[in-house]
Amino acid sequence: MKTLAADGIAILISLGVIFMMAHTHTTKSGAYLNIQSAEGTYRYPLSEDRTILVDGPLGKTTVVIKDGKASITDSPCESKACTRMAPISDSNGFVACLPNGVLLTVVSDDANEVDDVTN
Amino acid sequence: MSPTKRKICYVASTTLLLSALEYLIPKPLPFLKLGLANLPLLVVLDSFGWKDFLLLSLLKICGSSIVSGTLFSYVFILVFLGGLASSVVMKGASSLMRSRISTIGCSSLGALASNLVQLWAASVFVYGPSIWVAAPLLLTVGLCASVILGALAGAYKRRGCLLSREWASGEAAAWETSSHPVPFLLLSITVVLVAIERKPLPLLFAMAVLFATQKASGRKILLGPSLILFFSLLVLSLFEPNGKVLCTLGSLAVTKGALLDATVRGLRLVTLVACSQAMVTVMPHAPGTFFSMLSLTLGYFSSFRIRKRSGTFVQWIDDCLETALTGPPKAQKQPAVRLMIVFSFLSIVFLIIF
Repeated sequence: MKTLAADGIAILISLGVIFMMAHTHTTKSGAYLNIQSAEGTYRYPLSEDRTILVDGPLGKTTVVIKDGKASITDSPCESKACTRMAPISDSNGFVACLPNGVLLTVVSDDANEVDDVTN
Repeated sequence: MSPTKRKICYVASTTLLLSALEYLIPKPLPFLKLGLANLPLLVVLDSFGWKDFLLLSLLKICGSSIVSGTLFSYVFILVFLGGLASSVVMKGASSLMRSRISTIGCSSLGALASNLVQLWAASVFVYGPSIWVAAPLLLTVGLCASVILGALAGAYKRRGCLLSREWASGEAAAWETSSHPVPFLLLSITVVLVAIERKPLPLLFAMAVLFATQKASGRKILLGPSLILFFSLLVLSLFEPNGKVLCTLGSLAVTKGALLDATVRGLRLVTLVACSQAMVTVMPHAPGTFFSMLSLTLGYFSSFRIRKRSGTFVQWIDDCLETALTGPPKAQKQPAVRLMIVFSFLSIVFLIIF
């Protein structure tokens, strides 16, 4: 069968789109906020903005996910130190309200997590 | 009806035959498609003008949705958008490049367009953004299948005759559906109620009742596609954790919210499809050329028979394809209208109360 030049281009375009999809949709997946509390573990995607109320021994701690970063905006503790901690977006940090037993960490299944450890 | 219009209907009926065949192949994702039904479209790609080709494509989309019974559910939106996109791209590529592109190139571009549009529609209407995880798989399967189909269409174009020769052939008996406006109206209300329902329990009840309605309508209930849909939704829910962690699988977690969400989406879609299946059997007759063409297409479709093998493979296919032009269509099963009215009324009452 005679293969025509435009057919080759059409197939190349398809392959290009497949590689692009494979690249974008595997690297950005897997950045989740993990919340540990007395009630159990909770998990939410960091890609969606939301407000979560977490129950602790002292009352409700308010956790906010905004622009891919998570932080505690309010907590029923004395010092409110947790509300002043830097928001987290990757597995390098954490935010905690120790009096109310709430710990925020980021879980990701990216390959660069390994690099962070070895560096 | 003019010979050209009859030819369009006939070619459309062969696409229905192939989409029914495709429906029999089990697949891990409900809309992972080989696109067998596009084979006749590729064969007539050069010989049909824009208008006839798009008409053929619309007949294929509507006809196959009636045969599979998904016309009144949002599966139809996916099929409609994907089918239209691929037709426009295939015809566009063939009229722009003319002799420099073969059916293989047109087919692969069409598959790409259809898959991208369907993924987008699926992310909006069914799965949410997590469906893009499946994009590389769907596009790869689409590319491989479309190259093979393009080559097959090219081979048929050179040797076969029925779809490519001049048209001077008989009229099939049009498809007869029994039109019953009362159950149709009740089921239309149910579709809207199901589409906005957010709780799993009422949906579960509606699903049971609508399966009964579907049974009463005389259509077969296939559990396979529903189970596959549920499974795919559950797997994809892993990528969108939401709420309390029930257990973890490596870096993925099964969460309560995501599980509930997937269950509701799955139940809703299965219920809608059951409802739509029942609606197809009592569909009212619509006036206009397009609908008379649609019933002629379905008439041809129900007249196909398999003949004994003789001569080459392509000749045999032509032999089988010719049966639709001579034989009578198969008789349709009559729906149990009263039962359908009772069941659909029951589901409406229940959905409104809860």
